[in-house]
Amino acid sequence: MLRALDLPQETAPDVQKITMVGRNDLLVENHAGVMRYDDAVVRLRTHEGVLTVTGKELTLLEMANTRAYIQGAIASIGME
Amino acid sequence: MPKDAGVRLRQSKWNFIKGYVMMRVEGRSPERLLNCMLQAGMRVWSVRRIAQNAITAEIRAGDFARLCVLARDIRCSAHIVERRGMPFLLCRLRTRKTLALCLGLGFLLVLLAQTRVWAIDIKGLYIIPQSVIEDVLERQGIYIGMPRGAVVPLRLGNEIRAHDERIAWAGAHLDGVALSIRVVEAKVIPARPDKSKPADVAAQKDGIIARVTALSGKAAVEEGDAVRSGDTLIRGDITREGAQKRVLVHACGEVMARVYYTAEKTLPATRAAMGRSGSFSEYHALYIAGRPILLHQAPYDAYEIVPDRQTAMKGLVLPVRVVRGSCYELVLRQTPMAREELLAEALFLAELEALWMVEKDARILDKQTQTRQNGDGSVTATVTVCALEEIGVSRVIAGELAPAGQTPGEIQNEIQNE
Repeated sequence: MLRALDLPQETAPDVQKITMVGRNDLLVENHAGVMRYDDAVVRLRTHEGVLTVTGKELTLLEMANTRAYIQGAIASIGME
Repeated sequence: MPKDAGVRLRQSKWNFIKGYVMMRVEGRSPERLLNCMLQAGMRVWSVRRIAQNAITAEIRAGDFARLCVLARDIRCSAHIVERRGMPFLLCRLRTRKTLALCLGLGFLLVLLAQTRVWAIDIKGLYIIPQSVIEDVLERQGIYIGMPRGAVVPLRLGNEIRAHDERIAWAGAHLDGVALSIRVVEAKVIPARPDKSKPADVAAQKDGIIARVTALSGKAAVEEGDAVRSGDTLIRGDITREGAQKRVLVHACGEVMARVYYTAEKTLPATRAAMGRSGSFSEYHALYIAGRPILLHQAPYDAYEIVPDRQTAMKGLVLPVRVVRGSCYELVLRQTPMAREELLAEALFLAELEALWMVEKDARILDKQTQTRQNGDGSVTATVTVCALEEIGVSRVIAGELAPAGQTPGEIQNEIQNE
């Protein structure tokens, strides 16, 4: 539908968007909830699977209905 | 991401105004509670894991009652660790009435101070003295401490401009509590030469002629001639030999000459300079917004302050800086100077003096320097600058100007026919 209308994919309401600046800031938009959180691993449920962020001293700097702002020394990001 | 940083900054300010709490959540699965809170539309921030079954987080103060209900449903416990924000500060101030009163008074004073002009800044004056502008300000009733509302910048700018012919433009604007005045001085336009009277072109300086271009009149000198100030360069009298009537014109043209400027500078072997006497005392000062407020009075007539430590107080409305240091007494002493240093300085000063004499539109062709040491240890530097410049100046001569539109030959023929 989006392709047919020539719209960018990120405008879809159920597609996660991940923005990372440097190694310490990560913004996840359109997530569906927190599955696990500690200072080494953050697992967020998304509509297309589970997003796993690993690192050190991870903090959920901001949690809103669809946004999660993670700060810390991020080591890896993976989808399961 | 900077956009997000800005949004978070605004939100954090808003949270401070509305009040928020830092809470500790304990239970088997704090993540469940987080999800429930998100579904309930609560905002959570600064979530940190502090133990296996415990996290800390910050939420709005108003959401805490709803959170307790949610926590009970999923078997978690939540309690407040710290209350932050404006509402809690105001609650604390209720019991400290004197502090609240002082804060209120301080705030009121700041508000009142914002309605006045506390600084007048005048820029752009090079030739016109500042007192001229100050006179206009005084006449217009502008003074430090006057209400900001009484200043009409446009009218003030017009008044300043109309006050003095040397001012080409003036503008005023209020920048917070500072009244800023910008002035543009008018350039002096040289008067147009009066060509209604016969005139010669005379030398205004001594020099050696490099080029003569006579546009009107007859050249009296040629390339290589040495002329003195006052000598005629282009003659306005173009009467032919043996003619009965004098033919006079207003001579004009360009006469370029090599002009030599010589400057000599002598410097003594010793120089009076301020030096530390050895006495010193402690120094303290308090600066607010870069302006000294409290200064420790120096016990000496002449002194030098060396700051050892500067402490800036952060978190205040105005930048406050405390300076601690030493105040050293200075006394006048005759200090012997090194010969090379003296020569270099004498040369520099002599060159500066020579260049100062050269006309602005002159072209410097050559520069010669000479230095010598005198018997008493002093040094003398001589600098000679050769510049190519226009030396002609109009000089009126007695007589009647020839009729316009006729060549000198035609004039002579007419006279002979008569």
